[in-house]
Amino acid sequence: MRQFIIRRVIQSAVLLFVVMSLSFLLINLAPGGPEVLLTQNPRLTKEQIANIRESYGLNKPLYEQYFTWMRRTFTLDFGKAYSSPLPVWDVIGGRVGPTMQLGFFSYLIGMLGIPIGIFAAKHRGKLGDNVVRVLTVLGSCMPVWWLSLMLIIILANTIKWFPQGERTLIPGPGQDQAPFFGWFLHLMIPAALLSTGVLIAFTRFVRAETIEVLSQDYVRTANAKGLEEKKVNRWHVLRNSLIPIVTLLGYLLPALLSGAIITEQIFNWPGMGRLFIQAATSRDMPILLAILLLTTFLSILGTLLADIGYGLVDPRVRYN
Amino acid sequence: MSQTSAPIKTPIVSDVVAARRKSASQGFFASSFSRFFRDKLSVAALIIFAIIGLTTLLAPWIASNILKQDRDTIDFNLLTQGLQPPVAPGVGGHILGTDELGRDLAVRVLYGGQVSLSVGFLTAFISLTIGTTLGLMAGYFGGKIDDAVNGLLQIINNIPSLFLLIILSLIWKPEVLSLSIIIGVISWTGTTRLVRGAVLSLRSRDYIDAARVSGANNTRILLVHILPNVASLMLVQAGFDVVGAMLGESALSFLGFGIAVPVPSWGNMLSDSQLYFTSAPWMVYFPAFSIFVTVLCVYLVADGLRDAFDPRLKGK
Repeated sequence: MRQFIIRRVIQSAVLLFVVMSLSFLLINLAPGGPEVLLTQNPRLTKEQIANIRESYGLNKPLYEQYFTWMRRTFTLDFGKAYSSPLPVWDVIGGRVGPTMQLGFFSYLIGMLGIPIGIFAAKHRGKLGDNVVRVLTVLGSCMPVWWLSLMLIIILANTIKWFPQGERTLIPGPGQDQAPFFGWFLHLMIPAALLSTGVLIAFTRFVRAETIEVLSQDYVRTANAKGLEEKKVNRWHVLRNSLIPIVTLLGYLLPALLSGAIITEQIFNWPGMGRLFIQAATSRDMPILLAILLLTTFLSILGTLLADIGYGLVDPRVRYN
Repeated sequence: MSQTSAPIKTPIVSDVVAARRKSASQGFFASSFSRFFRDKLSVAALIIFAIIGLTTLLAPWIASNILKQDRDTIDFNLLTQGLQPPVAPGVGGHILGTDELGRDLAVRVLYGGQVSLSVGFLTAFISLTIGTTLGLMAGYFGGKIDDAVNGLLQIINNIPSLFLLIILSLIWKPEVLSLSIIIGVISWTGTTRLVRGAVLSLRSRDYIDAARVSGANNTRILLVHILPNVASLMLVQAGFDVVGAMLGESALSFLGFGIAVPVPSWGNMLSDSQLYFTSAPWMVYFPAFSIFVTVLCVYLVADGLRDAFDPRLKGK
């Protein structure tokens, strides 16, 4: 087991390193270079531009910038933002929490897919199963932003929630002194919408997995020897069909973070996704780079933890 | 022993033989497609999709001959009649109304479909080409090549795709072609996984050994003996790729990093309509409905194909 963990940690570290280098290269590929925001003012003289480039360290050769950047990134020092006088970390720092909250509650709501999947598997081919299957197909054709938009429109036009142009029900964290209940309600609608992807993935996965396990010999044996159905389900079916869920939790993280960009943008949630959109619009490259790295780091960490978790619960995985 | 059961109907020998001959003469693809066409839902989805595809393809002709409107022309007649755009469906000769500038919504929805569908199919083509090539090589050669492909796959899978797409769209000006390339380049991993898995099980089959013994080189084995056997996988995957690409494009355009105005796409039309939620909800409904129906049809066709190619999967 220890060997397995060490191997996976090393793999993840290499992966992170490669992604970091590629992202750095990518940002420097952008037309006008990374400094386009700083030097776009046509009234700047050549001298002033040279000064700006020097103060951000952009005049040095690319490989030197790369090494400085790499060294500083490991201490969470992402340099200065272009669009604000603050260091990048001060701009991003406050945004990580809200995104985490959103993601956490989305996972929590998405977990409902587990009982739904089991229910569908046990009523395979019957009405309940068919309803679940139709809903999952419809759900996978409705992206999060589409669903959010429709919900807002319907609520705005019927019960007059969301006053025109406003998409904030109640002030969120940092926007005002929000009471706990207000914060909770403000969080729950975007979280519920963001969770649809996770919910569908869980439902499908658990359903397929449970059907698979139900047809195994050991389940038939347990039934044949006269074990109560409740006990068969608990000890033989659930235990085996829920093992792979551990990995699913990790693998869904990148998609969840992608969805968070749109949900945060639509619902004015002050997280990393909304900051990313703002930074992309103003071409604030250091912030873009930092958020890309942070979310990728979270994804890699999620996958790593999922793999280790899988190795812990299912010994077969460790040896390959 | 009582003789209560009905007399057993003896099958007519010639019928059985004919049926057997028919099933034997049908190849894998023919029998799969006939299975696909027996599924009513899939066929209905295919027909609706064909209609959508045809109308968007004929958008210029429909616009000038039936709707008599232009994509980007602002209807100033509305202003002289004292109407403030956006006008509601049916007003001033605009079947679906107009947008906030007074451009005909029906025509823009049609042209938006052109963008969505072209991005969808171009992307599917690109990601399928990359995905299949890498999957074939990784599965067939194994070893270092497999490791390299796997590494590439890990990198792409671990970067949240929308973040990467937005950065890429800042670097290359998003048009239909560049957007398709951008989305295609980061969405091939699913195909590679599937193809690689299939090739792994195919390459140790006897017929591959037989081909090698009779002097076929790797290229020939891959293209003539293995590729046709993963073609059904590719076809199904292509459908889901189209779905993914259309959703990706609309999300990017919705956020303002995709197709740029004045070229309409369903995503950027929805983005523009956000300010008119309550005053002009039709600006939201039509593009939103178009996206949903089109994506659903492609999804159902792909799903139907998957079931048809692998009947064991039915209901999974």
